[in-house]
Amino acid sequence: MDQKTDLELIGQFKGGNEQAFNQLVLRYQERVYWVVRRLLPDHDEADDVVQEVFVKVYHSLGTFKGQSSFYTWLYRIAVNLSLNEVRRKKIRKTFSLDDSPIQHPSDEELPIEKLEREEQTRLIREAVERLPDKQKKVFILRYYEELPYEQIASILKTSVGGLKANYFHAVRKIGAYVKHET
Amino acid sequence: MKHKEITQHLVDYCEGALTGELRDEIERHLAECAACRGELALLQTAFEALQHEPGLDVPAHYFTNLIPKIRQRIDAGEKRRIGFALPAWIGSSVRPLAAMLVLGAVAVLFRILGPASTAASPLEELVSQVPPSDVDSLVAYFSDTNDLLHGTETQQRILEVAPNPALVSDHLAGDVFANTTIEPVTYTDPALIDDQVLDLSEDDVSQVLAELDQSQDLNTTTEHP
Repeated sequence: MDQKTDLELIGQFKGGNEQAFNQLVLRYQERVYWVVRRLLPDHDEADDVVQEVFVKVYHSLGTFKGQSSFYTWLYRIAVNLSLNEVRRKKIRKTFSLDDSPIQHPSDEELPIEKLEREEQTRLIREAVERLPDKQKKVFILRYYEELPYEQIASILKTSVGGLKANYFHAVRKIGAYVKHET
Repeated sequence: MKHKEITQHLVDYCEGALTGELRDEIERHLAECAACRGELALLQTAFEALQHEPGLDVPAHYFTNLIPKIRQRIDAGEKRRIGFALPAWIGSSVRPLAAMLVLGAVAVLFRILGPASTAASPLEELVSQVPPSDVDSLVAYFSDTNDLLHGTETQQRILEVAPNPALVSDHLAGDVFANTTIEPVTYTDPALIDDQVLDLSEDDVSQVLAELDQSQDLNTTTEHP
């Protein structure tokens, strides 16, 4: 079965083929989810934003000109909407580091190991969440998504040199926080 | 290579991404520079902690069921948080202007409804008239309309002009505001403007104005000293 390109699918969608949109969602839903989830560790909140991202894409796809790749455009929307939600949470005081679900331990896991794992999760989460928005975006796209600097630069519309500096400072701050807290 | 240039390569060095002469040069520098060794130690601490970070769970079948949920939202004609789409013939360059026009309309409304004053801005007038609990409501309101009115910026402004910021901060967000410096948000980045500036319709504007109209009672019920 031939694999249509993003632009082909977008063209079909603009021509009225709703299934083409579904195919785009299928193609990118997991990657979008994990970007959002890293910024919003709670699954339900991430789920809401992921849906919002694709609803926005659905309504905006008609104006997508293809000046950047679809994926770059999609990432940009996902990152921006996620950070909007982070800001909203901060303002509403509903932001809590402790209410995010933590991976369920295996049955044979000892309580001390579970505690250590939860502590490790908390530390990393806190450290990442304390980063300034720009550094947080760069860190998540680089470390978790393993995107090349050039693609991140395209998504965030910034220079590779600036990105490298942001990534350095982000990792450094995470290290300093972990060191300070342990 | 200068010290600053070295630090730019430390992450790559730490990740083992450097080879050849550059790696050798970094290592020579590290051997004689305690500051850079300190930086490297922090990076190593971070990467080591990250390596041991447990994965995040995602519910089974989540991705199988995602499209129907998205379709449901689309079909329901849900008002996105970012508002309605402008007609396609209105380019993105017009959107910031549209957002500013609505802000202007809100400011005019404040001036009409608020107490007479020549010195303070409409927002300052409003905030100065309400007790902290109502400032809280105002901030919450602008949080709900975050995208619509560049709410984060407005929230920041409210806190700046609040008559008793400390009290408001405590009331609002406890440790969040009490212990954290809120970074001013600017929307000069074209990427943000493209994706975050609101597309507005008359319904959006009417909704905002109606809610602000309801807030008139904030001006009349104030007991703030």
